[in-house]
Amino acid sequence: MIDPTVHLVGLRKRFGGTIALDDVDLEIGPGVTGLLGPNGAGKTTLLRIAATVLAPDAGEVRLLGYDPRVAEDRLGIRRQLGYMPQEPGFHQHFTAFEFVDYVAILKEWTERKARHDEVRRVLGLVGLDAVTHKRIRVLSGGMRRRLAIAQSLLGAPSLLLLDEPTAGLDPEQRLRFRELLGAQRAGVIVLLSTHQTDDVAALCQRVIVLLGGRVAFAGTPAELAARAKGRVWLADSRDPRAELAWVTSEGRVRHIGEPPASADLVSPTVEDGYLVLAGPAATESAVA
Amino acid sequence: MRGAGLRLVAAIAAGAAFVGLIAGSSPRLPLPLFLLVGVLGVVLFRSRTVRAIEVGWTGAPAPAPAPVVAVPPLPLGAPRGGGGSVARALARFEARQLATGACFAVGIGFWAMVYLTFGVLWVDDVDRSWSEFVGRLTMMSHPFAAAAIIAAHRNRTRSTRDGCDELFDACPADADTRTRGHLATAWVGAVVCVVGAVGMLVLVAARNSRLYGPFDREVAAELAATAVIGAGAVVLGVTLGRWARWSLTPVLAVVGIGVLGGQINQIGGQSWATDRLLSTFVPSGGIDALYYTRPVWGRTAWLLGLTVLVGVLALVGRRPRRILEATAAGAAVITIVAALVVVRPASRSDAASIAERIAQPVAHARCLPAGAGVRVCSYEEYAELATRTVAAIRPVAAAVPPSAREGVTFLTYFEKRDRQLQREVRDALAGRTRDLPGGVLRLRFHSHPDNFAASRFRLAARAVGLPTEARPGGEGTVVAGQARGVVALWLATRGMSPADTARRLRDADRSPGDPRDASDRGAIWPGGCSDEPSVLQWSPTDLRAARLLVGRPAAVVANVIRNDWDRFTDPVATTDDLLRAVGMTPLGTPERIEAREYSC
Repeated sequence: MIDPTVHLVGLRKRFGGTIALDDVDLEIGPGVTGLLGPNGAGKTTLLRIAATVLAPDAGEVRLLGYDPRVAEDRLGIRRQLGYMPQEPGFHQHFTAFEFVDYVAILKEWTERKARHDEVRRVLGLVGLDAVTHKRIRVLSGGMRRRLAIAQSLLGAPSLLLLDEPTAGLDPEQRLRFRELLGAQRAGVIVLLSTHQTDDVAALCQRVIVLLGGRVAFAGTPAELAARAKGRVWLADSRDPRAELAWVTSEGRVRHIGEPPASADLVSPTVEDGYLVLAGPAATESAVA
Repeated sequence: MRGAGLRLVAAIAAGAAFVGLIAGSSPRLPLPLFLLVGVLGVVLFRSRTVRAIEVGWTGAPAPAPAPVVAVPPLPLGAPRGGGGSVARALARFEARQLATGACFAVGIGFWAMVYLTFGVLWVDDVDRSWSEFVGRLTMMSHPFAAAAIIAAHRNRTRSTRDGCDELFDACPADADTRTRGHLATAWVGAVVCVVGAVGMLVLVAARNSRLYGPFDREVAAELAATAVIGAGAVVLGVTLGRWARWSLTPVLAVVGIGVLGGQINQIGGQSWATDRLLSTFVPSGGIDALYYTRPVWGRTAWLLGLTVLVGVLALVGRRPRRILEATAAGAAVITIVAALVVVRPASRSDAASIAERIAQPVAHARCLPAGAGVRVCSYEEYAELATRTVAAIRPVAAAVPPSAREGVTFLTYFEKRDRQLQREVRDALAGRTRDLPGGVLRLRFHSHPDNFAASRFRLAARAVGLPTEARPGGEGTVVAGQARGVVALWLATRGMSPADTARRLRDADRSPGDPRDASDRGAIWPGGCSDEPSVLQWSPTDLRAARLLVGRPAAVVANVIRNDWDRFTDPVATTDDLLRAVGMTPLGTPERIEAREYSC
């Protein structure tokens, strides 16, 4: 039985003069956890630490019951880890199959037949069956993203860390991705960083909002949405008193903040909750 | 005991470096060797303090309880291998990547160029003994090795170049395992070099039947050294890729090896020094292989030890250290012992044996008759050279009157300067007289067709009383307008094919812009490109006369020459006298010819 948690206490990480993580305390259990936050909030840094490729300056990290400061434990973590970096590099002259096959070897799949079966399985999961033997250099950006997802699924990991996995995916592929994550076996910890609040709403049992390297929120998506309860309005024109306002596809203006004149109160979404929490700093990434 | 191996290596290396610094000026103890070993030792020693690769995760463990399970269960029943099996699986993968890479293809192309150069276009210039040729195989493998260094470096740095490091670092196989996988591709370089070298031997054997001498155990040593160079190139590329990822690093390494090798090859100056075998490429000693010692197995061990040491450098910091330390210690011992074996002076018995061969060439020769009164003697090891020379000169000997060929002996002997010999051989030769029979004709060690033609010319020149060697300054003897010069040409071409005869007696007319004057055009003594200066110089008119004589029935010319031998071998008799005697129209006064030194 594996200790099914990601346990972070007092985590700090600084890059030169920039504080990436500041006293982060988190306990993440099985299920899908979304990581929201504006650019530079520390999401990627948190994922890199959880992926054991970056060490914190201070704080305690415990992943699946292991301490990554111990070499043997680190190996234990990596054996249970699936990781998709924000900008996964590819050997462009490899075929899709070769690349995932190579990662499979690095994940200690040394028996050729079993490894190849597993590679075919994960490529099938992301719908890349038809291009397994095409060079990566000829694949589209979306296909490469799916390839990166595929390698992270090798061996059905217990800890799956995905940094912006749906960026660049078309709507159909995003739905398929949601299905894929939804089908993960019980007990798997999935931590995904994203700017897509609808992905969080559709996928995540828990959501964490990072702001300025600190945890601003940790709870369910519904709880996050509830942060905006009574503060989201639809009006026919923009009210200058609004904290945030933007034109919807129906042509009306959605306001967050105090109610404008003759406005309709509407049910908040996860995005509304996030925007209320993050304030104007979030608009650059979240609203876009 | 932990770290004892590395401490031993460091101690040995430091000692070696100290000795090198003290005695570095001596050609017997080359400074670069010891400095190299010393640097390797220092690097290994310092590696004990090198931080783990995964910087940052090396702090003290948190005082938390132990993991719930020490080894988690495998997902989906995955067959998981240990570090060794992962490295092997990676090696198979990386070997394919290495062998199909562009740089490696360039290396194969270099081998193809070597084939084209020495196996096709200029295969006749491969004209020494098999031993000499085999000794050049390691040098021939160098263009490939240079490309292999770059290819292996690019292979090892591929993940960094393509931005995959973060992803790969999150995998169980750590950087050391990946490096081991890359190091294990060294066999690809070794195989290519061995196949290239064996292919070269086969190609040359198929296209050039004139190489001679034993094909003995040195071949195995040289092939082994070639394999090690191929493997070593890959290992060096991987090691550089592990620690110095700049893309120009392998290029600088190739240049550095070239410069260092060139420096090592100059040890001893004009004298042969076995220290040169510490270089990865070894030039010829400038003298035949029979006259110097070459500890080829020691050299192979030296290269092997260096290769392993360089490979160990790629894994510095790896845990557990014990195997690495043991490997480093073993390799260091092999390297140093092999280096000492290579650079040690020639043994007294070896030096005495070589000196004996030089002082008493006849005593060590096997002689074959080439017609009444003429014999060809070569060192016993080179009996084929004598056989082929006999076949070349027999028709010439048959055409020479018996009185003019009595007691003529071709002989292989040491014809170079004593200062080119090893010091120990020179010492062994000191005070000894060279037992060289008077009047012997030099049988050179080359097997180029020109060399056999030169033997024909040499016999013919001896028969008519002309010099058989160039003057001390290298100038030839002018025989322009002399009947004996033309007789020598006629004799030298006996039994020669018409095409070869025409080629040997060719005197292309001057064309506009041709800078060659009559003296140049009359210098047709064969072998200028294989260290044989033009012994005699004819005029173009003499060559024309010789061509006319060759066109007459041989019996008619032979009768005229034999019946009036004394007259036509007298310097006073002119070319026109000879032509008139044969019943041909005189050609008139020959061109003015200057004595010059000619070489290729």
